[in-house]
Amino acid sequence: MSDSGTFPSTKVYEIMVKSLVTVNENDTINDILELFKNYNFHTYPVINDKHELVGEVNQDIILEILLLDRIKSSKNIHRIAIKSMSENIKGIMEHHPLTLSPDTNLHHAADLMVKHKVNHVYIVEDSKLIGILSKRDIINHVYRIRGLS
Amino acid sequence: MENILIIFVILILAKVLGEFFERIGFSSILGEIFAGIILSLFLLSQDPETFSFLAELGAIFLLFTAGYKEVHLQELRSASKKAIIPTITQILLAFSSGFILGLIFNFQILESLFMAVAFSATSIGVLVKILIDYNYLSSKPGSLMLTSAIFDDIAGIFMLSIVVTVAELQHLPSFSQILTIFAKLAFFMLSMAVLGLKIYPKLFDYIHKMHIKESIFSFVIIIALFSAYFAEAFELHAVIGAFVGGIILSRIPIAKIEDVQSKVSGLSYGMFTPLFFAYIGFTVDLSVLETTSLFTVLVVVMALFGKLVGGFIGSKIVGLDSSDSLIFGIGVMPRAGIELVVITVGRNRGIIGDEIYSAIVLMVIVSIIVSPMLLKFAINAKEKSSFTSSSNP
Repeated sequence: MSDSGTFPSTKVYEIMVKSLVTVNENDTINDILELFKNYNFHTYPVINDKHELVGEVNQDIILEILLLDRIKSSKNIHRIAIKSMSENIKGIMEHHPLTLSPDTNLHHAADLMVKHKVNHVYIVEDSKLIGILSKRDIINHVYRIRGLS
Repeated sequence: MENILIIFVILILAKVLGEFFERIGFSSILGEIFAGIILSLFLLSQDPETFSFLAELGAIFLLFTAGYKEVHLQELRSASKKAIIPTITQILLAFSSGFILGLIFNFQILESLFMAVAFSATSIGVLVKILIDYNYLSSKPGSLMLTSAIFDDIAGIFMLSIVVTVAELQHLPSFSQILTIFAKLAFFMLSMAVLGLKIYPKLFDYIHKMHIKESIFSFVIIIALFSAYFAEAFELHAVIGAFVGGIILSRIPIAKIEDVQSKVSGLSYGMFTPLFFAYIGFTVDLSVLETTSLFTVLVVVMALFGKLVGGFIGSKIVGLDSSDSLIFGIGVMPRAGIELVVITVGRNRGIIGDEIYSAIVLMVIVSIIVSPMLLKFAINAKEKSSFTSSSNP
C-alpha cells in the first residue's frame, strides 16, 4: 500500500500521543529514576517551567551515569563524568531533540522515522511541547485503518 | 607498498596496539602513534602522498567530531566559573614555558609561538577513569579538572587559529595586521553563524526528504569539508573550520540524530583519526629522540611543569589546599589531541622543524604515560596524610 493510500491527508496531531509523561529540567536524577520505575518508556521529554521542550533524557544516558565506573576510558568518559556531577536534569539531558510541527503530514513523519531510524519525534507548537509521535503510534494507526477498510 | 596495504597495516596495528594500551590503563592514542613508528621503522621508508592526505583528513575529522559530538555550549556556560582562574593560569604558564624555551634555544619567534600553543593544550580523558576509581570525581580538584578541560579545548582552538593566521604572514604582525586577523576571524565566525542559524536548518528540511541513500550523513560530511575549505578561504586553517562547522551542526536536531552520529563517529574514530595519530608516529624523527638532546628533555619537562605549576597556582588562588592543588596541577598535564594538530600544521607549513616536532610528540607520549601514575601517587599521598592527621588529634 502506498503512502498516500495509507495516510491520505492525515496530520501528525491527529494520531500523536497527547497525554505525556515529562521531566522538568530542574528535577533531580532521583526523580527520573522514579519515573523509570513507574513507566515503561525509553525516553522522556524535558521541559522548562514554561512547558517549552528543552531536551530529552533516555535510559542510555542514565545507565551511562549510573555505571560510570564500568565505562572504558575510550568512550567519551569526560563528557559522561561531567553529566554525572550535575544536580539536575538540565545538566544531563541531550539538547536539541528532533521536533515536528503538528500540521506535518503523517507520511512525511513516517518517511523520516523509517528512512533515518528515528524512533520518535516531539510535536511542538510555539516552542511548547504538545505531543509525541512514535513508530508504534504509526503502526497502530495503519493497523486501525486496515481494520476499518 | 600498495596504498590499500598501507591503510590496512596502519589500521590493524593502530587498533591492536590501541587496545593494548587501553587495557593497561593508558590512552589508545599511544597505540596509534606507535603503529606509525613501527611502520616507519620496519615497513615503509618514504612518506607516501596517500598517507599524508588521509592524515590531513584525520585532523579535520578529529576536530569536526570534537565540535559535533563533544563540545556543548550549554555545558560550557554552566561550567563552574571557579574553573576559569585555574584554567587561565595553567594555560598561561604552559604557554610561557614553551615560548621562553623556544627563545632560549634560538628558535624564531613564530616557531616559539607554535611550541607555546602546543604546550598549552590539555586532554584529561585518560585521567577521568582514575578519578572515578578513587572516588575523586566530585572532589574539588576532580570537578575543577573536568570543567577546566572544557575551557582548555576552546582556548586551544582559538590559539591555534591565531597562530596559524600569524604563520601565514611569515613574520610577526603589525598592529593593523593583528586587527585584520581578528576581523577575518570575526567575519568567518559570523558567516558560519548565519549558515548555522539560517541556512543549514532550512537545507536539512529538504535533505531529510531526499530519496538518495544516506542523505543526512552525506550532507553532514559535505558540511564538514565545506567548513574546512571555507576557513582556508579566510586564511584560517581547515581544522578550525571543521571544528566550528561541527559545533554549528550539533545544534541542528536532524543533523544530530543517533543514526548519523554513530556513522560520523565510526568514520572518524574507526578510520581517519587513527590514521592521523599513526601519521604523527610515522613522521617523528627517531634520531632526534635517540640522541635525547637537552632541548628534547627540556621540552618534556617544561611542558609538564608549566601545567603542573600553573594549575597549582590557579587552584591555590581559588582556595584549594596544597594537596588538592597538586592533584589539579597533575590533572591538567596530559595531552592527546589539539597540540598534535598544532605541530602538524606547523610542520606542514615549514614553520617548525623536525627537532621541535619530534620533541613535542615525545612530550605527548610521556605526558600520557606519567600523568596517570603521578595522579595516583598524589591522591594516595593526600589520603595517607589525611588519615594520619585524623588519627593524631
